This record gives sequence, C-alpha cells and structure tokens, in this order.
Amino acid sequence: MAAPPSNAPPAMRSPWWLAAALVPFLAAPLVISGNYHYGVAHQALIYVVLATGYNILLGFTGMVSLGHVALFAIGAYTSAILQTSLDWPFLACLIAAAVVTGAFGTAIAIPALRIKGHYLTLLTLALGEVIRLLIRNFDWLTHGSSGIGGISRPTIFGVPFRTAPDLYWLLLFIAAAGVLFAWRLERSRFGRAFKAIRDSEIGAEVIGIDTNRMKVLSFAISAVYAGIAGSLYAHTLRFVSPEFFSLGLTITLLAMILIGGRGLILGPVIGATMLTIAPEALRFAKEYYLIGFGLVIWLSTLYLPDGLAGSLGRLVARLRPARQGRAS
Amino acid sequence: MTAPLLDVRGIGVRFGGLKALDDVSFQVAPAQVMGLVGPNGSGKSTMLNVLSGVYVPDDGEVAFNGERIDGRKPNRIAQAGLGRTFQNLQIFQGLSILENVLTGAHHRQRGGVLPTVFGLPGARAAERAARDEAAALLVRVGLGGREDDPPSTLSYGQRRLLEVARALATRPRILMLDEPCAGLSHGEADQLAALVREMATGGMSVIVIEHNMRFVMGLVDRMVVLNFGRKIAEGTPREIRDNADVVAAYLGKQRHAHG
Repeated sequence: MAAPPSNAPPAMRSPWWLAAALVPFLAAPLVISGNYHYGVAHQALIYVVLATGYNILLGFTGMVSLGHVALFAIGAYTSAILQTSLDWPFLACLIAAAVVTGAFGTAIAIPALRIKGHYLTLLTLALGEVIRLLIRNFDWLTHGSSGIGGISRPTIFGVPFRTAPDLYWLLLFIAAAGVLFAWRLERSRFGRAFKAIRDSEIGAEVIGIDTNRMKVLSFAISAVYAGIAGSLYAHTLRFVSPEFFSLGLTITLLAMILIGGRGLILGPVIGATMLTIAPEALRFAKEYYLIGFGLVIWLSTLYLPDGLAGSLGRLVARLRPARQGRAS
Repeated sequence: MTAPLLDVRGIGVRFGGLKALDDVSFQVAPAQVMGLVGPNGSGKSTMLNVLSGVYVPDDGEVAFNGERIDGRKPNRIAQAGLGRTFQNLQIFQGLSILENVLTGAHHRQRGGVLPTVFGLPGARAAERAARDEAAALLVRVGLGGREDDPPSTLSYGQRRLLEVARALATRPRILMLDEPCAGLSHGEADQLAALVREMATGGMSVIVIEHNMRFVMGLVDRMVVLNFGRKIAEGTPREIRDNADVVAAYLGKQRHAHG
C-alpha cells in the first residue's frame, strides 16, 4: 500500500467519530467513584474545553500563542471575583467570564496581526507573563498570591450541581457542546478560512479572505473557550491562585494539542484527557514523570506528526477494505 | 477599443537599486485575453504581484473599472474582481479539493459565526449554493468526482487546474494566470486553453503570463512584451512575431536554442 498522504485523510470528519468519542465519557461514571477520581475527571473535561479552543488558534489557524493560559486565568478570576464579591449566580459568572476573556483575546490579537511566527510566540509569552504578574499584584482585586477561595459549586436556576457526579454531568455537557461547536466551525466557511491562512496566507489573501479579520476572530473564539474553561475551573476547584496558571501549564496545554493531534477535532479531546489522567496514574514515579513526559512529546513529534487522533484515523482508514475513496 | 477594464499607467517598482519595473503601461479590455511575456527576470511576475496587491508600486497607478486599486490590500482587490493563480502553487493542503474551491466563495458568503455554526436557514442556503457552484467549477476544470480527496492526491498539473477553479470561485472579472502551463501535459494545456477561451467568450478578461509560446501565440488577443522591466512591444501575436526588438530579446534566443 502506498504511503499515507502527509495530511490526515478526511476520515475523521464523520459525526460518528464524535459519538464514539463520547462513549467513554458517558461510561466513566460506571467505573469511577470517590471524590478523588471525580476530581481528575472534572479536570479532564475542563481541559477538553480549554484545549479545544486552543486548537482553533494553534491547529486551525496555525498561530502559536504561549499566552493562552493567561486567558484561562482571566476567565477563572472573572468568575471567582464576581461570585465571591458580588454574589453573582453561576450562569452569569460563566457568561461574564466568556465575554471578558473574549475581549482580552481580541485585544491580544491586534498586535499579533503585525508580527508572525516566532515573534508572535515570544510576544504572547510575554503578554501571558504580564497578565499573571498583574493578577498577583492587584491585591485589592485578586488577593494576590494568596488567591481567592470559597467559590461555590454551580447552581443553575435552582438546580444544584454540588455533588461530584452531578458536576461531572454538567461539565460533560458543556465540554460536548464545546467540541460540537468546534466541529461545526471547522466545516464552515470560517474553519476553511482559518486553515487557508495556516496553509498559505498569501493564497488566502488573493482569493478575498480578510486574513486580519479572520485571525482576530480565531483569537477571539479560542479566548471565549478559555474564559468558559476558566470559569468552570473556578467553580469546580473552588479556589484560584496565580501559581496555578504557570508556564508549566502552558507547556502542558501545548503538549495536549501536539500529542492528541493538532488541527483535528478529537486531537485535543484525546490529548487533554490523557495528559490529565497520566500524571495522576503515574504519581508513584514522582519527578521521573517529567522525564517520561518529555520523552513522549519528543517521540510523538517524530512518530505521530498528526498526533494520536490522526494516527487513529489512519489506522481505521487502513483497516477498512480499500474502498476507492471517490465520492461517486 | 472599448473603455478599458484595467488601465495600468506608468508602473515602476524598485527593489533596492534594481528597477524591476520601469514605466510600464498597458490596458486590458473586457473579454480580452492578454499575454504578458518576456524572458526570465523581465518583471512579469512583479507586474502580477502589483496588480493583485501583493506589492505596492513605487510609481504609477492601476485603475480597475475606473477606480484606483493600487495600494489596496490583496483581499480587497480580489473582492473587486481580480483573481489570480500562482506560479509556485499556493494550494491549501489541509483542505479537501472541494473546500479549496469553496474558500474562493468565502468573501461572498454572509452570516456571522453563530448563525453559521448553528446552521440557521440563511447561512445553510448560502453554504449549499456555494458548494454547488464549487462542484460545478471542479467539473469545468476537469476535476469532477474528486471533491472529497485531499489535494495531495492530484498531479502537479491538476493542482494548477484546482487553483484556476479556486480563483474562478471568487467570480473575477479579470483572471490572471501565472505560468499556468508549467507542469501541464500537452493535453492538459489544450484543455486549459479551451477553458480560457470559453471564459473570454463569457465576458471575462484573462491575463496570461507564460513561457510556452505555442500556448500563448495561439490563445491571446494581444500581447505585452517586457524585457528588463520595460515594455518593449505590444500588439497582436502576429505583430509581435514580426517585431525585431522582440525577436532579439526573446524569440531570437528561443529560435537560436531550437536551431
């Protein structure tokens, strides 16, 4: 059989893949129990939201921002502050976090239009650190390095999601909606424009795509995801502090996309889930885990250029009897 | 000659001390096929980059349909009605063949992110219409039935045709083809020539940059010949063939090489 094309076949575009990916998440409550296991599952779902949004920027549009965790922090703090100081209900906090973070993401995007490649990456890295320092130093608003505690678990129109399983179902619903949105976006004219910019910016321009506008849009959408993920994080962990939103988390987020498969809808789902569970499961390895983590990233860039999701898609395409892949 | 659709006046482009284009003027009428020829480094591609907004000229102006377009951004020029292809292909490898063509319809499709993602009727109808049109364009360039394949499954020549289909999807009034025959077989080149003729019959103007003289001479209504960034001749293919300057600068070399 001929070598597979350098781009993952459109095999993974079928909605059945989304449905199949949902199954383990629906089944998980059958096997997990206890607050600790649920805590890991909650985090995995929050990272699915964060990574799915990041993938729109990194995977679809091809812009490497290392400031994304700062947007996650803004979402978390917006929700935390509104809830603890003003006693806003969960849903209002969530929407406010999405709006505020979306606005920040748009503001970051505007300088990003003038610079490309490594310089963009460095700029976003610096912006992310600036935002983290601001959070730590605005004591009156953020309680500085001691963080904000006592955030309550979500309640929607009187329905509480306080217990671990209830919260799991709420997070799963939001994560699934986020993935579905990204899937629909990918197949729309916007998703096509994002990928066109990634593959050839000049090619996109001369066929009438306003590349600046699309880049800002891509930043804004991925920022809204980060804001929602941040809000969910605040209401799930019930505590936020600046130390959590570190450069280490940025690298982990990047690894979720690269190992899972960038530019593929299921990439960040697989990557976020695996990289949330793995450190917990490998806790006995202590610091050696980081060595293994580094090795996995290194090996996956060598052997899984389009990540686990892409390799899975190819494997299925290869196992299938060789249909002449023509739409007739 | 009817009022020109494209009026290029005194264009000059300098790269450092080098004059890539020097005081070049010409006009293109509606439904006219214009050849832009010249030896390597004569400024043909630079001219195409000026016309499509990739470069901003140092001197002169470009008027399209009576409006100045030089200095506008490439996407605005494309929206105004000037489409182009590239000598070194700019295919979107991560999109399917149909999706590549669909990107050309992007700027015409209305509806924001939310109506589109939630599949509201207006956005849905626009998408369906764009897909039908894109599929018809693929049939027109001879790539029907390949909609869902990745572009990497196409031959080099077929990728050129895909770029033509994508440029056509922007519904240009002038289509600019940069070396469209490079990599095409004789059969594919003839097919492309027929397509260009058909488009001109339909009212579209075409500017062709080409080395393949067999292709150009048989296809174009008028030719502009560039050499070292200057226009050295303009006329019908017959007039150009008999022009001593052109023979010396360009065709002479070819004849020499052949004989």
